[in-house]
Amino acid sequence: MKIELRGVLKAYRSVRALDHVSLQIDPGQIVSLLGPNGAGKTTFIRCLAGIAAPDKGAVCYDDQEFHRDRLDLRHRFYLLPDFPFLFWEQSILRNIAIVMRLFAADGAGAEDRVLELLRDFDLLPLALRPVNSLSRGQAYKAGLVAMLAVDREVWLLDEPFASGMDPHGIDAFKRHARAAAGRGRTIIYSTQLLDVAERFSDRVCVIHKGELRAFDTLDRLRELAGDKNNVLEEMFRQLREESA
Amino acid sequence: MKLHAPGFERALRRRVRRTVQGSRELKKEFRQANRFRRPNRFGWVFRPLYGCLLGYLAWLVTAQTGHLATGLGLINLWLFTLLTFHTAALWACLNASLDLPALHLLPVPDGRIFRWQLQKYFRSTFFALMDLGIAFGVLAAAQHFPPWKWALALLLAALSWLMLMALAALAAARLPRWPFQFMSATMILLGVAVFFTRTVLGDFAIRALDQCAPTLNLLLPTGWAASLFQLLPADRQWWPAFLVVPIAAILWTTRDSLRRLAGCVRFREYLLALPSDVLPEEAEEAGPSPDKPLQLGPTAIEEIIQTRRFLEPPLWPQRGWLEQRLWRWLTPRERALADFVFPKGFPIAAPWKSILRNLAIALVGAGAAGLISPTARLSVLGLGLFVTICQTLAQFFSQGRAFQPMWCSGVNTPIYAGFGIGFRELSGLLFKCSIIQLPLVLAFTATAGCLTALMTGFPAVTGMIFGLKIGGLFFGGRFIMVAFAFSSGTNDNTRFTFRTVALGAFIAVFGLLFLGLAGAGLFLPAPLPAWALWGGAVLEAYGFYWIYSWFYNAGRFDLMNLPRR
Repeated sequence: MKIELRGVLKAYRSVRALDHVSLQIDPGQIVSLLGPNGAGKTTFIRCLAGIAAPDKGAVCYDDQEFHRDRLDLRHRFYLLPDFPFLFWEQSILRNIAIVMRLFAADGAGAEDRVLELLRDFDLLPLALRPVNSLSRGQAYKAGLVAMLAVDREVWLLDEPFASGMDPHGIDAFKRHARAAAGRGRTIIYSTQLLDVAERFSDRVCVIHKGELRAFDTLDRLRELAGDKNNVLEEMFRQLREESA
Repeated sequence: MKLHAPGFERALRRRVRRTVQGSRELKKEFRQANRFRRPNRFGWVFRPLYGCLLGYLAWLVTAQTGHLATGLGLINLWLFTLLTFHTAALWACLNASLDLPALHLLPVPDGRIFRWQLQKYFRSTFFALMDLGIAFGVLAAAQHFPPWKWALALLLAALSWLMLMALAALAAARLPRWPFQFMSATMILLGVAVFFTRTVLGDFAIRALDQCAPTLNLLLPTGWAASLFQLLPADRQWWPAFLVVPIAAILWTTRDSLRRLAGCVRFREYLLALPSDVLPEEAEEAGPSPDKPLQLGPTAIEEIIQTRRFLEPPLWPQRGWLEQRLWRWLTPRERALADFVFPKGFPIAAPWKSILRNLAIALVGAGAAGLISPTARLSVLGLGLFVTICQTLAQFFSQGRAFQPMWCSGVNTPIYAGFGIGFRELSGLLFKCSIIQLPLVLAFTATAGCLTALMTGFPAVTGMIFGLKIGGLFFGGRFIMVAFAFSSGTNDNTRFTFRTVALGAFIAVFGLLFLGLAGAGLFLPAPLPAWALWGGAVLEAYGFYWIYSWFYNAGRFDLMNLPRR
């Protein structure tokens, strides 16, 4: 699914969270969103998900402009915020079932997929426990399993690597994401961890004060950078100096 | 009680202020951040106007009827509305305050946090004391009291306020499941309806209050302390002196109520370790332990998953005839939505049984009270109808969990927004849930109208038609309530832009128009125009819903808002 932002402007009063951002993301890519705190990464994801409405510009999926009533487009992507949308008093399995029914992903083979995912994320023994009895990392994994079970064309994740997941969970997520990108899924996630972004993304999107500062592959960014080993760190240093 | 180090805080604040003042960039950011999150700082300026309004209304009805009890009855109704507010506020302050997660990180015992929250709630109730002070002061002035009686009147205001606090604690501790928010909304709606139809209904409302006030002041505990005011005038009545006993009893329960509340307020963030894998051999060796409850292990869970039992449709449609009808009426997509919106099920039969039972109790109670006096009968019936109407509205306007705010990245987002659920499909499901109950609602309102008419000396048919019209207006109100439910999860009124002003103006105009048309449709004497206006009100409510859906789908606002302080 091709994603395109055409001059998207989103302001919260006088603060421009996104300042005329234009870019195009082709299917089958893993894109990391980088930027200092308050740069506009979460707003970027919210605009893609239809939660925040752009003041100007348009978000397009497969060259079709996205509005909230375009449910056909909306059902093709899945949003996983930093605190996943779950019914906290319901069990993990019940939450997954609700989500699967909502996205009509409960057809044949759904049970095998769920079983495999629960095993992968060490959630099988906890599957009948209510979410409010789990730790934050386990709750996040429950949200992640629901997302992987419905397997939409676009995955939108806000800070998945700062979610309290254990190293095994992070590793399992990366494996599934890589495999999904191979199947043509697009994965967009925000992070503050530069080394993770460096290793786990096909393209890097750097936002600063709402402006798009870079959107390219790491190899291309390395070609342009002075310090080829620490390309992202150098970029952030420059942004910081610029702000100061 | 101090939960902080004032000296340290002062020094920190001073240092932060100095740092911010020294940097132009920081000053700009500070202004922006404060403007975005600034609470309403001028609320305290306008709040005393409520007290003045109460004082004026109490004086007005006392002067018009010549009965002090009527003025006190009005104060009693005001206090009852405040009681529903305060009970909900106390419960929220102790259980759902945004400060609680942070407070529980402090190395202080739970009891201390409870007292801290209680203090916060307590401070927020002083305006009620001011309202009462003004109202009793106005009544004292109207009665030309000497200074010592003035002092007693103010003491009674303080006692009424203490009763309000004690009753709020009692209700929060003993009746936490009562729909207090609905009750307060209904009281306000009734007040607004009487205000807008005052030229038609004003005299009738005052007459009804005049008749019911003595019984009302006895029936509602909020009126007991206020009734003591009748001991003060020269032509005093002595019977209110007996109310001192129940007042003392209510005040005496406060300690127990607070102990109960402290007992049920237990904020906990559960952090449980993963259970260790249990090997089959170890489990066999260990054998079943009587101390530990039997838990489903991975194998049983695997079976639940592999047999697709976890994907089976919910069981609630099998519980009752109406639930089955509703389930059959829903499309497959709506069934998936129903499972999401009502994860614990959508009961219809059980709540309606409870409503009808309460109505029957009210009728029997009214019949019994009728043996004492007609006014007592009317008051008991009125109280019973009020409670059952609140229950009916809560059931009819039920919207499940779809609009539950989920906190993420510093804002609240309604849970439905995370799953690609559209405005029309979600509201369509909610309408179906209401329509299936419409015959019951109409039967209830027609019966209630008929009974009220019979007991107030009107023809039964007039009462029944009035009740049917009210039921129809409930249905119209459903459209507005759905739009408001969507609005509650958005920032459609938080920014001062042309769009939000246009939306605000649209909501105000359509809301007032609905009330006006509904009032005219109910009370106009000519039947044909009255029915036409009633139909207009229902259509207008649908128009309101439709236009709001246009604003929603056109992306005129975000599906998120800042958490309330």
